Amino acid sequence: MNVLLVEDEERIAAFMAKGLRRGSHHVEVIGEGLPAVGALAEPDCQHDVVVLDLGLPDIDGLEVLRRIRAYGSAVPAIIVTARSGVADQLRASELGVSDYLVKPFPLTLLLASLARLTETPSP
Amino acid sequence: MSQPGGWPTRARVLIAAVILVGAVTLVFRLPEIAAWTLLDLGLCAGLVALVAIGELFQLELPYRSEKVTFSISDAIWTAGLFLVPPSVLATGLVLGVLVGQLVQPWALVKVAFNAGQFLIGINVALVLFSAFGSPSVNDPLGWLAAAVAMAGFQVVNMTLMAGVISAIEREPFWSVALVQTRVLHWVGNLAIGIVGALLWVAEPRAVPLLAVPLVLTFLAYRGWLRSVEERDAMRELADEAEQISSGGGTSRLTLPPGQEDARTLAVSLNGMLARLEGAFERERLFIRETSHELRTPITICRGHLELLDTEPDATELKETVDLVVDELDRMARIVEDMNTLARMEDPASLRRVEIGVDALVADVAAKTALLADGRLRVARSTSGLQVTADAQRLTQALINLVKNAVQHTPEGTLVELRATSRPAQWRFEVADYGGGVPAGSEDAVFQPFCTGTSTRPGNGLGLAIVSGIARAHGGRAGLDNRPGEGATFWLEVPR
Repeated sequence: MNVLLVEDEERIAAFMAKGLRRGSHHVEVIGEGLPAVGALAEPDCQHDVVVLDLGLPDIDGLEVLRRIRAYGSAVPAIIVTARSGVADQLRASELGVSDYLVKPFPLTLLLASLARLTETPSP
Repeated sequence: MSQPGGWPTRARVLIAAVILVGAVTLVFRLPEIAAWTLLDLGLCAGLVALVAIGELFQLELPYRSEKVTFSISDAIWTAGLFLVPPSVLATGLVLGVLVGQLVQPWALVKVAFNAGQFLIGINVALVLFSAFGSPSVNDPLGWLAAAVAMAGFQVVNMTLMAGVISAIEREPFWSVALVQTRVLHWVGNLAIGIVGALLWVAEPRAVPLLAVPLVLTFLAYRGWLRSVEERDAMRELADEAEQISSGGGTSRLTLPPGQEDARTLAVSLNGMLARLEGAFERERLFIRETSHELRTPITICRGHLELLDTEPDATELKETVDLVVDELDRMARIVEDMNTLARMEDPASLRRVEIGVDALVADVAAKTALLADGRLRVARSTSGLQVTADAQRLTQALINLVKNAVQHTPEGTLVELRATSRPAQWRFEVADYGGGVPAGSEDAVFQPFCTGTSTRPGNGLGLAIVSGIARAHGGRAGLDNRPGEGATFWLEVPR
C-alpha cells in the first residue's frame, strides 16, 4: 500500500517507516499537519492510507482529518497516538478512522490494521 | 409544610377531618355563646388578645421540612380552665389562634388545621377537667385536674400533629411523635397557667408581674431550642461530611438555613473541599500528562527493539543500543524531574540560608556556560546584597530559566540574566529575544508538560519546577511576553 505517515517524533517515524517498508508498503513521512493536509487534499493523491499522529506541532491530527474530510477525501486513516482519552477516540470515530492505536503498540498491530484495509476495500 | 399538592391522601384526609371536627365542636358551643353576658364577652376579648400575643412569640423547632411550634398559649388555656366558662375558653382560643396565626406567612390550611386541633384538644381538656368536678384553683385537686386536662390537650396535639407530619414525610409515627420537648412544654405551661390563675384570684393587679419570669423563661427556652437546632445542624453536617468522604452524593455540604455558626462552618469546609478538589484535579492531570509523556520514549524503545534483526550487524546493533540508552535517559530525567516537582512545593523541605546575590548569579552563569555557548549576558548591580533562600533550589530554578531561554530561541540571539532588588522582594529575570510565547499561553507555560511545540528539547517540567520553587519560597514566577520580540521570565522571592 502507499502509506502517508504523519509523525513529528523522528525516532518514532523512523522505526514505523522501517517496519512498514519491511511489510512491503511504500511510505512517505511528513512531520507536520498542514503539509499533510496539502498532500492528502490533492485531487491526484496517490496515498491509499494515512497513518496519523495526533500531537503534531502545528495543527492537531484530528484537525488534519477534519480538513481532509471537508475537502472530500475518503482516504482511510489509522490514528497512532499517546492520547488514550475516550473523547479523542470518540471524535476520531466520528471522523471515520479505521483504527485507533495507543502508543506504545506492537508494530504487528499496525501491519494487521493495514492488512484489514486491503481485505475490505473502502467504499 | 411542603407543597400541599404533593401530600399523600392519608395526610389530606387527616387534615380535613381535624378542621371539620374542630368546627363541629364550636357549633355545639353556639347555644352557650348566645347566652354570654357582657363580662363573658370582655373575658373572651381579653383571651383573644392574650392568645394572639402569645402566638406572636412562638418558638419553632425545625423537624425535616416541617416545624414543630411551641408557645405560651397553653399556659393561658390552663388558667382559662379555672377562670372562664368553657364556651368563652374555646371561642377565645380559636379566635386568638386565628388572629395570631393569620398574620404569620403560613398557608391557610396550616392555620385552619392548627385551629381545628386546638379546638379538639381544648374540648378534651374541658371534659377531663369537668370529670374532676371543675375544682377551684385554690384547691390542689384543681392543679391535678388541670395537669390531667392539659396532658390530654398535649396528647391530642401531639397525636394529630405527628400523624400529619409522619403522613407527609412518610416516616414512622413514633419517630415524629417522640420529639422530646413535649413534656417540658406541658410542665412549664401548666405551672405558669396555675400560678397566673392563682394570682388573678388573689390579686389581679399583680398579674402583669408574671410577665418578667415569662420573658426570662421565653429567652431561656428559645436559647435551648436554638442549641438543639444547632446540634442537629452540626449532626447533619457531620453526616453529609461522612457521605462526601465515602464518595457518595454531592461533593459539597448543604448550607443549613438560619444556623449562623453551622453555616460559617459549612462555608469554610466547602472552601476546603474546593481547594482539595483542585489539588486532586491537578494531581490527576499531572499523572495523566506524565503517563502521556512517558509513552513517547517507551514507544521509541519498543519499536526499535521490535525491528532489530535476529542477527543484527554491528552498526545496526550499536545504533539501536545508543538510541534505547538515550531514550532511557530521557525517561530517567522525566522521573527525576517529577520527583523534584513533587518535593518542590513543600516549604518545609527548604534549607534557607543567606546567599550573596552576585555569587548566586555568577554560579548560575558558570553552570549554564557550556549550554549557552556564549549567548548569556549577566548584569550585576546588587553590590554584595544578600537573599535568604534555599541556595540549591534557587540556583536550580535560575538554571532552568536560562536553559529554557537558550533551548527555545534561535542560535546566536542573546539571553540576559539579571537580579533586581525591590522593596518587598528580589526579582530574578531571564530575558530572551526569541519572539516570545504565543499570546494567551503565558500562564500555561508554567504547567507541567506544556511544551508549546513538541519539537523542542527538554520534557516540559522545567518551568513547572521554577514555579514550584518560587511558591515554596512564598514568591511566584511569571512571564512578561513581548510577542514577535521576546520574553522575560521572572522569579520573585520575598526579601
